[in-house]
Amino acid sequence: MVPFTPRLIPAVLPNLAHHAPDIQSAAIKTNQLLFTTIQNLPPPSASQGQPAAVPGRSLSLITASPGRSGIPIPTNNATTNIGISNSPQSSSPTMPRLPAMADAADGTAAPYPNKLRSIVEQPSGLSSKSSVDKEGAATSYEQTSSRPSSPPLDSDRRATTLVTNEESEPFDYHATVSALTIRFLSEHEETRVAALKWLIMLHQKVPNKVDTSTVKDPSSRHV
Amino acid sequence: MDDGTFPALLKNLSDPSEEVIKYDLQLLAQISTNSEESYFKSFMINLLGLFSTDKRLLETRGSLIIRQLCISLNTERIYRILAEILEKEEVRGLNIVYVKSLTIKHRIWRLPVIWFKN
Repeated sequence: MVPFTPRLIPAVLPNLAHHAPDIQSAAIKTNQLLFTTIQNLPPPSASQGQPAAVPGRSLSLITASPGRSGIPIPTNNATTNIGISNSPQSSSPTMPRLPAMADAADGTAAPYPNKLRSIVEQPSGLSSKSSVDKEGAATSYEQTSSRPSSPPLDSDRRATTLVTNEESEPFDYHATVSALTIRFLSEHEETRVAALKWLIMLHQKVPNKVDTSTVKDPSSRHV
Repeated sequence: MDDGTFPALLKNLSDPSEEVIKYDLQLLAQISTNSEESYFKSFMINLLGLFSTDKRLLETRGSLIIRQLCISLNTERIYRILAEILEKEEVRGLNIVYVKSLTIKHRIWRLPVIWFKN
């Protein structure tokens, strides 16, 4: 899931202001989950050293982080406190869902409710994601992972997720930042605010990746 | 942030939403804290440039922006940089009319109020 973040951002963030409550709720939850997951990733230098043989442990690390469930995203925070970091097994099964959401949500905000009905085969572990408060919302979240043009890719996705640690840096920081920056053009305030919060979190996480080149001062451009 | 982020962050200061402006300033302040002074100075120069080209922004959001910056960053540092920039006239089109007292965190700061001709 982590490597797909740059694709998920354009899919999820615009829906944070969706007029349909179900879609907005699902987008908010997804955003929060993704945010938490990335926030809880080990620093890049540490992840590079992780052996491929213990991918599961990396995921467990994420979930074991204490006090990480509180995400500073104010919108519906009370109802969307999934507390994924408190559910040891919820991280692995839920991660594979999100890549499919990218396609499901790409420019298809309207059909979103329809996608709620086409379910990818869920492992039993996912049903234990009872930490979600609203069962309806939980169902919608689980079900929005459908990829209509592809066969269920559960096991494939999980395998992909588990082996991502073989890459030196599974999380594409630059692509994610680019995706977030483009969100500033959104007409929705919620989307712009969410993008900024993401960037704040990412910068806190990897300040050394900050590009400190700035625009030349305007006076130098004046005639 | 990556190339292109800085202009985008500057542009956000003209956002109609106060919340966007506040978070944008928080991010800019955060980056400034983690970067060399040249970044912050360049940011302030560009900010003043923005004020000079968008008088309405200055009037409607000017004090909010400066206030928020003072919350996130050291007020003295902001004032010092502003004074440096204005002294060297590194932003064209500025004209300081008068100095206004600004009370922040129980300290009175004399912050130049920037007024623009034309």
